[in-house]
Amino acid sequence: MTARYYPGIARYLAGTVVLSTLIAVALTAFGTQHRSFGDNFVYSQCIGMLTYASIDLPRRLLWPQGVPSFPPMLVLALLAAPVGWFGGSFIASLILGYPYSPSTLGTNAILGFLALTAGAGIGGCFFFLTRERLAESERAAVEARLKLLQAQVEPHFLFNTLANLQALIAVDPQRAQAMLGHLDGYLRATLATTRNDRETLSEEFALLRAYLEILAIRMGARLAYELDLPDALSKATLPPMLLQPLVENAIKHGLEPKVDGGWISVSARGEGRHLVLVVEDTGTGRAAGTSSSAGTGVGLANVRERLAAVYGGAATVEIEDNPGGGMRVTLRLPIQS
Amino acid sequence: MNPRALIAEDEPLLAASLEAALASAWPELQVVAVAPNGLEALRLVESERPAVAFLDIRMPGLTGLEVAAELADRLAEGEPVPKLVFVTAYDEFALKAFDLAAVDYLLKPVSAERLAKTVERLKASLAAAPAAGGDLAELVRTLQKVAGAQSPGSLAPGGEPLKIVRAAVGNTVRMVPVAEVCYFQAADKYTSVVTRDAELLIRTPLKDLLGQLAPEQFRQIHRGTIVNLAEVAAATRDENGKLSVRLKHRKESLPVSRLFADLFRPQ
Repeated sequence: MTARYYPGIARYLAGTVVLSTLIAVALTAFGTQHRSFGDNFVYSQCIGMLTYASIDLPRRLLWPQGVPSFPPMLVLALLAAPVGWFGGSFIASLILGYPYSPSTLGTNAILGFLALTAGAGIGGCFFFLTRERLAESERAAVEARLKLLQAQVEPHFLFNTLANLQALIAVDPQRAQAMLGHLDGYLRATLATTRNDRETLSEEFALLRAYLEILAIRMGARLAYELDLPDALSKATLPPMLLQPLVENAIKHGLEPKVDGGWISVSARGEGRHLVLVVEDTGTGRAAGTSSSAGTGVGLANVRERLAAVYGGAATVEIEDNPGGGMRVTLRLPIQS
Repeated sequence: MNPRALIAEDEPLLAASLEAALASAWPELQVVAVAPNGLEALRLVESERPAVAFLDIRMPGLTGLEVAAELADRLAEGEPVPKLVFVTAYDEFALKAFDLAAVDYLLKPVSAERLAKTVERLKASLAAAPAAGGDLAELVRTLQKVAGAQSPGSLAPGGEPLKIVRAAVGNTVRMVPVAEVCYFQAADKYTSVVTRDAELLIRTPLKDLLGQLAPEQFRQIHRGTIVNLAEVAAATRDENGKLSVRLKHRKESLPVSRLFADLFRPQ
């Protein structure tokens, strides 16, 4: 229970014990005080524990949720050092039954011990921060994948599709079966993207076909689509579900809101060492609905980020207004297979 | 006479399936029209005068809620108001609002049990007011509650109110302080920014603007209009009971939707 409420506390205590023990060993071997290892060990543990407590308690009070940046942690460690050293040696003296008289050590020795305590505290803080940051970025990566998954199986899409299936089962069981097949394919491909880092263009196009087939059944005459993937490119690879958010945007913000519906096309072609992918629609275009804030912006930002992460500057995204109304998004990335 | 109904649903299979489900759940109900989009729905409600209208929320043209708000404006006092049932696959905010405002709604896929309950309720309320169907004031109140629950009419959390509107005019960008704007008007794909002496176009949709403007100064008064309250001279009601506002520095007057009429109630 305690570990749940104070995450990491057991590990930090263990770290403090290990660090204090190392310091005790070093002091016994190289120190000028000529104390036994046992005495050094007790002093070192007491000072270590109190220093740790004087850093971590205020840290938890001041930043209950998150991790502070390095400068405030540095200040905490510097403030904790005298508390830890004077208080810790006092406690150790009590335990060992020695008189408590730090003044007999001389100013230089006291300053040296304080510096050692502060140094160990700062080292500990640095280790703690690095570890927390790492954990944070791992959490963020998992979250990003979950969000991607969530976005692709959008509840509105799922429930409307189920409602259509329900309708078809009664009147046209064969088409219902076909639609169920498309939904199955789409969901499976979506789940696979949370595990794989690359997929082939033919896999991405199969997923788009399943998605667009479902929407064509749902929207009836309001949606026409075209997919064009030359055989030569079918084995080329790309990050999974790179095109799907663009197609979904075109449907959701371009074609669905348009009374007469329209047409969407996704095509791939090779240009030298580049793969050029174009998503084009005759929807309401950029100005309507979601020019900046929601929808289009988020989907595109997501695609841009993923391209930058995978290809650095080698991939580009271009957005144009289609002369006939609607939008055209062109991705250009290095061919890889 | 058998009650008449309209179904507004953009997905043809779903419209057909709701019609079929209604045929077995309420055999006397006569589905007189099926509208594939919000604009058609509005036109058909006005021409067919159904007692019940099933409105999908997400439709092209106008959403189900916009159809209802528009209806509340177009109907005159005393005219019969159709009973509304909203239909949706999943709209988190709308559903919360419906629960708060006690509005009847159906979830897609529609279950037979839920539809039976809705039919019971509709039958009961039609029996209570056979001729009129519903009451206009009640519809307005309900829609106000839904709108209130959907958007608190305030700034987006953590957002600073917009101070300057940037509008492109040819190759230049005009910087217009919001205080100089008389009103914003939805114009097709754009929003028209109207000042004392100019009309400029921006791409930000009206509903996005609403979350960026200080609610003390800018208020929505119609589906397509946000007005600067400091620029309003007076509000007047015509012989049909329709409310409109006159502006201090513009000649045109702006219609006020029944949903927002409370803004101009005398103190």
